[in-house]
Amino acid sequence: MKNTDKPRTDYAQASDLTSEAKQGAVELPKNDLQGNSLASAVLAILGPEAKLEAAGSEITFRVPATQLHDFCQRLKDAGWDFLVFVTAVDFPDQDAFELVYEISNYKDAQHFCLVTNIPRNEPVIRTVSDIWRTAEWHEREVYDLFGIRFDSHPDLRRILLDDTWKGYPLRKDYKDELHEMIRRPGS
Amino acid sequence: MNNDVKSEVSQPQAPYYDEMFINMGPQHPSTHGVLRLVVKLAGETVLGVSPHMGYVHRSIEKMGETLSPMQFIHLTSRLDYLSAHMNNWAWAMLVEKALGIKPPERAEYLRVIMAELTRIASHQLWWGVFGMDLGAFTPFLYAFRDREKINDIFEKTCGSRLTMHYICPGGVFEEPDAEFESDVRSFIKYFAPVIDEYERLLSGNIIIQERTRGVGVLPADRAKAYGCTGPVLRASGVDYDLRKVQPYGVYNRFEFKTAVANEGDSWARYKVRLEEMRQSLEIIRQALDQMPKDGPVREKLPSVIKIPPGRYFARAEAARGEIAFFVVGDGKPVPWRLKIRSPNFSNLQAFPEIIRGWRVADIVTVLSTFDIVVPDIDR
Repeated sequence: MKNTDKPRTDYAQASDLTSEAKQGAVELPKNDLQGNSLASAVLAILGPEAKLEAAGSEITFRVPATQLHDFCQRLKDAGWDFLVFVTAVDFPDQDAFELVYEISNYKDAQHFCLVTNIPRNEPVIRTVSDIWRTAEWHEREVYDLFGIRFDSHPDLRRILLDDTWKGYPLRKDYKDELHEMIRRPGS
Repeated sequence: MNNDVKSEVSQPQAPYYDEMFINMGPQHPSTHGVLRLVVKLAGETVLGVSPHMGYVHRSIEKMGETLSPMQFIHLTSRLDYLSAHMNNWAWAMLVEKALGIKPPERAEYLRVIMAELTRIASHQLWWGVFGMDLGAFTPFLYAFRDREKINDIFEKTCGSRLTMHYICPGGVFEEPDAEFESDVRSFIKYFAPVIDEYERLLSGNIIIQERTRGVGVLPADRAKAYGCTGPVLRASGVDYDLRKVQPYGVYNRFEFKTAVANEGDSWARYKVRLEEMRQSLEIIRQALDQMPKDGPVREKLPSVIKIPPGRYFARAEAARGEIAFFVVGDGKPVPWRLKIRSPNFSNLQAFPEIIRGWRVADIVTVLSTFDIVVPDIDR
């Protein structure tokens, strides 16, 4: 895929954000994550390996892929009992898939997401379906649409598409000859 | 004739506990859409169920990567088409979060009224279809008679009866028609006693009682593990309703109760939905009283909406649970990635576990009280 405008993934720097905002006509929402009590509470559970990312409205923690399962277990034990969804984002220019785990709880419905990058040519990560059972189908969906495999998953099959389907539609380089209209403008 | 065959015929063979697989669906009246259940049976007893989805998969997430936020509203109505207003609302909230704008006061109230009317219409339809699933045809006619009145209000206000796309980023599309308030008020007046009529018609029925009480019990911890939301979760005794625990819009200004039942069986799910209809009427009544009589209903938005770089998440309480949108923006007019979290997808996941050990007829009951909408699962 030839994409001249690189997708932005280095969200960590706030200075970049403001320059980006000047280009567009829209004003960015105020982001006060550093003083946020939820962010500091979660950081206390996760420890220093988790990096807080400050872009957009959703509080995001970037964690190393190897420790993701461990972090999820710690969060579950600390009362974050509601996994809203698991999904992935394709960044072909970075040669990475970003896995997104949206985590919440059934008490006060606070929410944040954990993200981790895995290499695009060897997309494997350990399942979290043993921690939150609901991840089982969500991970099947990610496998179905992105081709990311989940280690120790109890039942990794396609869930929405047919078993004979070729390719993984939500990857950015997926080509569908039948439906040319489903294409991102400029790609 | 071979002797072996003869002896086989003379003896009663095929013990009823032989395992067999049957397909329920993809076209079956009780699956409410094109959902295929592969059921493993021993006689009448269900040994296991494996749902197969995707028959109405329209790749809405992929299409979202090609459509502007204003265009995408129209696809959100087509997820759970019975909660169209709430889906629109969740999407509108995400775009408003990304742009940092706040809808006008009057629009906030209109959103609440519309969303609660949709919740009532959705539960009405469920109630009618639930009766029909269990063999009672009359409730279906009652429910559709009353649902028509809500649809008429929607038609007058937004020109559409099912896929409204009325709630949009910035507020609502336009001022409702002049008779909107009196129409809604007369509907409340009409419908409050009708819920009691529903109860008299169906709730006390001995067949309904026998077929729902204690059937398909979903314990609270399992419901949480499966990420269930909405009436399915609240019927298991978990007091979790986004309108209460994290009020969005102006829900914190109304007094209402969350409908919760502790049993977790099909009967509890039935009770919770009937109670939710009553509470929704309460909310609409208060919203009509508090709503500013005039004022703008739509905030001005930039003509090209660019989702700024970053991650955005917004969710709302739809009729079946929590609808959530997640967007990764890259500053272009279309999102880089769009994820839809649909309530039915997670709710249905709990179904195979709790149906094990029950009879074939109970599949119909439990699936009906889960109130799934298949286009929402498949997206």
